[in-house]
Amino acid sequence: MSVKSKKWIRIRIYITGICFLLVLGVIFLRAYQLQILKGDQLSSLAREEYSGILTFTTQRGTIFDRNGEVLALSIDVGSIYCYPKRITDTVKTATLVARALDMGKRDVVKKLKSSRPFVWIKRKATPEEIKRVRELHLTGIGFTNESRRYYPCMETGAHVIGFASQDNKGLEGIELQYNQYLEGKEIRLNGIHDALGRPLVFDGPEIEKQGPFNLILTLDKEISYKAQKTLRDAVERSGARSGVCIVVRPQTGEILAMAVVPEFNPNIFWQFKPYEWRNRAVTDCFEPGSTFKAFLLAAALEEGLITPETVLDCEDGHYTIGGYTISDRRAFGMLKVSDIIKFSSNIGAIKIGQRLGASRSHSYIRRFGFGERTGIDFPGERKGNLKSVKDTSLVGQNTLYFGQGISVSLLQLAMAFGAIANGGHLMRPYLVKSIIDQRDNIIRKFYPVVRRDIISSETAKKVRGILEGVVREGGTAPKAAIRGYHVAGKTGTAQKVDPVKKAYSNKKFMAFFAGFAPSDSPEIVILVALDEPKGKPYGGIVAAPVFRDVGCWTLNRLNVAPSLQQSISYPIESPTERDEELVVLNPDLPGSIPNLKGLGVRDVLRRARRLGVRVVVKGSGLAVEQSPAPGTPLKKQIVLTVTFRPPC
Amino acid sequence: MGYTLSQLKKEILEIEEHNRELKLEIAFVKSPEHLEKRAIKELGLIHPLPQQIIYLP
Repeated sequence: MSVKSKKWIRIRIYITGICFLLVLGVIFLRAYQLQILKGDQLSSLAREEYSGILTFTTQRGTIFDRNGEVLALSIDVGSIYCYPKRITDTVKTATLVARALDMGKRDVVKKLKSSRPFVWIKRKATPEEIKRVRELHLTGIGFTNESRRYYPCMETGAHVIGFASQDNKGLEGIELQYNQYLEGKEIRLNGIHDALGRPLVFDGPEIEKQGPFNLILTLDKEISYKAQKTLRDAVERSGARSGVCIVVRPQTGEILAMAVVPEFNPNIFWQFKPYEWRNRAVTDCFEPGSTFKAFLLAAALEEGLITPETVLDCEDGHYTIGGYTISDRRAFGMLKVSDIIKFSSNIGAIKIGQRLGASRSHSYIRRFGFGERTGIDFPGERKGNLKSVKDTSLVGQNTLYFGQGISVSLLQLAMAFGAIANGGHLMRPYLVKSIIDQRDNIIRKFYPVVRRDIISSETAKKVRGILEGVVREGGTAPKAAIRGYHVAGKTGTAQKVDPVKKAYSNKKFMAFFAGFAPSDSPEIVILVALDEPKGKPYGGIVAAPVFRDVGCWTLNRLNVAPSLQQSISYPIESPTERDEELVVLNPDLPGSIPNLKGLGVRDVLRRARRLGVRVVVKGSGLAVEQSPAPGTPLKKQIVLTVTFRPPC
Repeated sequence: MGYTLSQLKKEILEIEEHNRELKLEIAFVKSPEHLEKRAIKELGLIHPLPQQIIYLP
C-alpha cells in the first residue's frame, strides 16, 4: 500500500470521526435544550396528559337548632340541560320533555331552538322528573347535579335563618352573616387517570380543614314553631299589619325564638316580597309606649327615690305641663307606685320621672341599652333614636317617661326586660351557639356576654314584684297570666306617628306586652308586639294572650315546674279581661250586691243563686246595666234587674 | 387496584349524598307543622287541655 493511499484512509477516518462528533454534539445540544432550558414546561405538559384535576364545590354547611334538629340543609339535585344543535327532531323531543316535566310545550320548543350551544331546560328538578326524562333516552338532552338548599321548617324561624341564593351565596339573615363559614369551598384534587380519562388514584377531599362549617343556633325549633303559629293567629285575629314575638333566656341572652309576621317560606323566597323577608325584631324601630315605665321604675327604685309604697298624686286624670295637658285613660287620685304601674297611669309615670330628673333618667335609659346596638350577630341591626337631654323640650322630656318621643328596636326592648328578669345585667343577645366542622369538632363557641350591670339584684326583684301586679286581676293584662306560674310583665299601647299629619294618630297603635316567667326566678322573657291592630288596640288585650300561650308552651318545653297549686289558677276568662275599661277597682264587699257588669247570663244567674237573690233578665249577651247598683247592701227580698247586650 | 379504589370512593360519595337526602326527608317529616297536622288528622289527637296536664313534683 502506497503512502498516498494510507494518508487517504486516515483522512477518511478523521472525517467520519468529525461527523460522529458533530452528530453527538447536536444530540447533546438538543438534550440540553429539552432537559434544561424547556424542562419544566415540558414535564408539566406531560403531567397534564396523565394527571387530571378534579374540581368540585363542597356543599354549603348545615344549620341546626340548639337540639341538633336540621333547619337548613343543602343536597344535590339534578338539573336537565340540552345541546340544541344535537337535537334532530325538535318537535318530538319537546313534546316528550314537556309531558315529562309538566311544562308548557311552547317554552320547551323555544329552549330547544335556541341558537346558544347550551341551554338549561329545568334547573333543580325533582328526582322523579329526572327519572322520567332519563327514561326517554333522547339525544342532545343531558343531566348534571347542582346543589339546592332546603329549609324543612318552612316559615318557622325563617326570618332568623334567612336564605341563600341558587348559587349558594347567603342573602339574608344568618345565611348572610355567617356566609364565610357556611359557604361551600371549591376544592381541586390532583390524581392520575388512565388513557380513557377514568380516574385512577385521587386523594380524598380534606373538607374538614377549610370548611364549610355547620352552625348550631340558639333557636329551639319547637318554641319557634309555637311562637310563629300563635303570632300568626293573633295578627290575623286582630287585623294587625305585622307582629313580632321574641323569646329569650334572660341569664344568657340566647334567643330561643324570633317570630315575625308577615312571614315567608325560604324554600321559595323569590315568590315573596323583600318587606316580607325583613326581620322586624331587629331592623325596625318603634315607640315603646308604656312598657318603658318599667325601666323608669327600676331607675327610681335603684336611686332610692321611691319605694313600691310611695304615694303619688295622679291629678285626677289631667295634668298640664308647658301648655300641654296629659291625660290618663282613667282618672286616678292618689296612687301607690305599685298601682301606678299596675294601672299604667301616664301622670303617675311623669311624677316618678320628675323625681329622677331629666339627666338621670336619660342616663338610665342609655344604660338599659336604648340608643345603641345590642351587638346581635345579625345583619342590619338598627339602634333606634334617643335624643340627648339638650335637644328635648320640657314636654318631650315628660312624655319620654311613658315611652313617647323615643324609638327602640324590639330586640333592645326584650333585652332591657331581660336585665330586669336576670337581676340587673344587660346581656348581648346571640343566635349562634357554636360553629362546628363536618366531623362535629367545635371550631368556635359563643358565650354569654354581660354588656353592663344596670341595677342591683334587689331593685330588679322589687320591680318584678310590682310588675306581677300588672298580670293580676285589676291590672292591665290579666290575660297574660299563665296557669300555675307566677308571671310578671308590662303592657304598652303606643300611638303611632301619622307620617302625613306629623302628629300622633288616634287610630293607629302599636300594642306591646313584655313579660317574664316564673317571676321569682325568670327562665324566659317574651316580648310580643303587634303593629296597628284593629278593634281594641290595647297591649293587654291583643298581645298578652300571645305571651300566655307561647309562655306556657315554652315553660313546658324547658321543663320549668309550676310553682302554684293547680287549684289557685288564674281565671281563664273573667269579665275584667274582656274590656280594659271594665276593670273593677273595688273588689266586691261582702254583704253587698256585686258588680255584674261584663258577665254572661249564666254567670249572673249562678252568682244570684249563690247570694239567694231573684234576677230579672233583660236582653241577651253580656251584662251592661244593673239595678240596684253594685255595693248596695244585700237583702233577701231584693229583685235584681240586669240588662244584657250582645258584645260588639 | 387503584381503579377499584376510586370506584369505591365514588360510591362512598354517592351514598353520603343519599344519606343527606334521607336526613332532609327526616327533617321535613319531623317538622312540627307536619307532625301536628298528621297527629290531628290521622290519629285524631287533640292538644292537651289544662286539666289534662299533670305536673310531677
